[in-house]
Amino acid sequence: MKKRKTIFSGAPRLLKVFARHRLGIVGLIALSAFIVIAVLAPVLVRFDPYTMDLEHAFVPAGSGGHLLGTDNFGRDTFSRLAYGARISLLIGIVVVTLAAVVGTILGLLSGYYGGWVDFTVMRLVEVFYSFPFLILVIAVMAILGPSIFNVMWVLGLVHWPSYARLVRGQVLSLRNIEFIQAAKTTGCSDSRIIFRHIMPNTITPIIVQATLGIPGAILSSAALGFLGFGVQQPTPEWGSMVNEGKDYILLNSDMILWPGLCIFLVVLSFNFIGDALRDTLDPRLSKQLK
Amino acid sequence: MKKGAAILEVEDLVKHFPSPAGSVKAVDGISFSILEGETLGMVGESGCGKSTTGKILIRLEDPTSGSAHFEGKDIFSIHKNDMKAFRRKVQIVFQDPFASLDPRMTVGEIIGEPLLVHNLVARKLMKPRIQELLKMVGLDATHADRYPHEFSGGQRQRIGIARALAVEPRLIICDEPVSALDVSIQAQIINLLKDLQRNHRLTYLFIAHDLAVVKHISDRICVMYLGKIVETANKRTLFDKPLHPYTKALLSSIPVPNPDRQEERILLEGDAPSPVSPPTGCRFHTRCAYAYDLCKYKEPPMLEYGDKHFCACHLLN
Repeated sequence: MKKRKTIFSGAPRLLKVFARHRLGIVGLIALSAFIVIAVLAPVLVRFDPYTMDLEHAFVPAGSGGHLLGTDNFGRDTFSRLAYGARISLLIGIVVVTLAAVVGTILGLLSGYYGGWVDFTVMRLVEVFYSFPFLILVIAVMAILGPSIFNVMWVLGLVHWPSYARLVRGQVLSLRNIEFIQAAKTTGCSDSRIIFRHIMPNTITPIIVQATLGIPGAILSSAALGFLGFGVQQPTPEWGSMVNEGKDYILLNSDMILWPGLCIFLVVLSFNFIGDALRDTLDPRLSKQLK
Repeated sequence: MKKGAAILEVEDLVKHFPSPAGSVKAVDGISFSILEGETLGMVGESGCGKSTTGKILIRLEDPTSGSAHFEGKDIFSIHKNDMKAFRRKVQIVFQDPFASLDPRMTVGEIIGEPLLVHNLVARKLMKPRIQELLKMVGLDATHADRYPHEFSGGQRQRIGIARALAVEPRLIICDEPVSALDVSIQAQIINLLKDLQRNHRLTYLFIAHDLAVVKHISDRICVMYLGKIVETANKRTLFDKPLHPYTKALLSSIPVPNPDRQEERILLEGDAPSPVSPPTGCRFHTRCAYAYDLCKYKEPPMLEYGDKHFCACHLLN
């Protein structure tokens, strides 16, 4: 018997299993590198990410001390990417966490209790699905004003329904499985059944959805930035850097290449980690990974 | 073992499930009682309502009507707050050992859950108690740290039994506990259940779909057909002197390990009729070789023929 009764009981064992997953480790290392760069940005960069130097615009990578060259305003690309990592990763993680937590809880309640709870949650989901998200976001931003904080909670609000639906479907298929009935006849409370028996058995698709959702959130915030409703210029953010670079794609493709590459690598890392986590958290699969 | 008073009394239990084709009459007015310390076997084809009966009695399903009293108390009007006390007394062993254990929990966590939920043992004594339960069902104490998928069907069923035993219940509903197992394992599990009954003074409602399985464990047997009980008798009586044609058909389907025995098998034709629109009169008349006119429109009453031998069939009058 483990002392702590959570899905993380036996953490050392899980670490061992995770360590066997090579791609997961690669993803973890790559993501850690980005996080280190983000955290240590002020120490790592030689140029201020906001200082323009129009004489040295579009400097190629490596010249004049600019590791990855400069953009159309002569700002150091590496500096902007490093500072941008802070914002992009933060937005991605916060948005997905918010959406996953809200969506999972509502999906669990909706699937488990059914009836009017289910009806209310699912109608709400449909309203969110049928409402064009850009209009909703623009409306909120217009009222509250664009800021990183507003971008995060509004995107979280927009993304929760897909988690709710996913979890609800899982709960419905689990609800009548005998081990859930066994939990009932054992005398478990509803909250114990939901969080101890149902949730651990739905965690796999949530993790997959979340790892796929982080890059989606980063891109969504980029789209908002492009429309002037997201992270505001001149704040460096990967998504808006891609949008800026888009105008110069024929003239100087480096400008769109670097932030694009960063997004790509982060997305890939999250996917690898998600895969590894999924396998690790499933005792049936983790055994086979020897 | 000495049999006590009735521990469970079921009166006119009905369960109709709504469906687009009309209500499914899964259980349609059954009455029976189980005496303390005995095993009541309940047999019938798939879909005759025997598992539904078990689910209702353990309060996983709500009945459409009828009553059931456990130790004198109406189990359908148990207040939410008293449900836990009821759960301590009545337990269930499920049919599918692959679906009835949470795949994310270790065996120790599975068996320990009832102890935890009902606060039965101090945290320190949890581990020894779990090991004790494992040994009780013939598993190794070291199995507590493994996951269900590492076990065979028979072993998983033992884990399910240990979980049911953890609360030291009075009545265990065995919902086809051996149907999903190999024949060689079936006997082991049945013997285990018998031993446990002897040592812990348990009462069983043993649901199965063939008589051969219930023969070894039951004291009394009731035979269900399409939501109704057609015959109830002591095991010996039922096997020696079956009265209902359906019971006779079921008995003749038991393979006998004697090549010289030449007995005619009673073969039932066709499938059981749909429980959405069961036949009028005697429900069995559509497949009964002896049915006559009366059977088609008048439902036979349940009457006693000799020592606690009940049967519902017009042919007997």
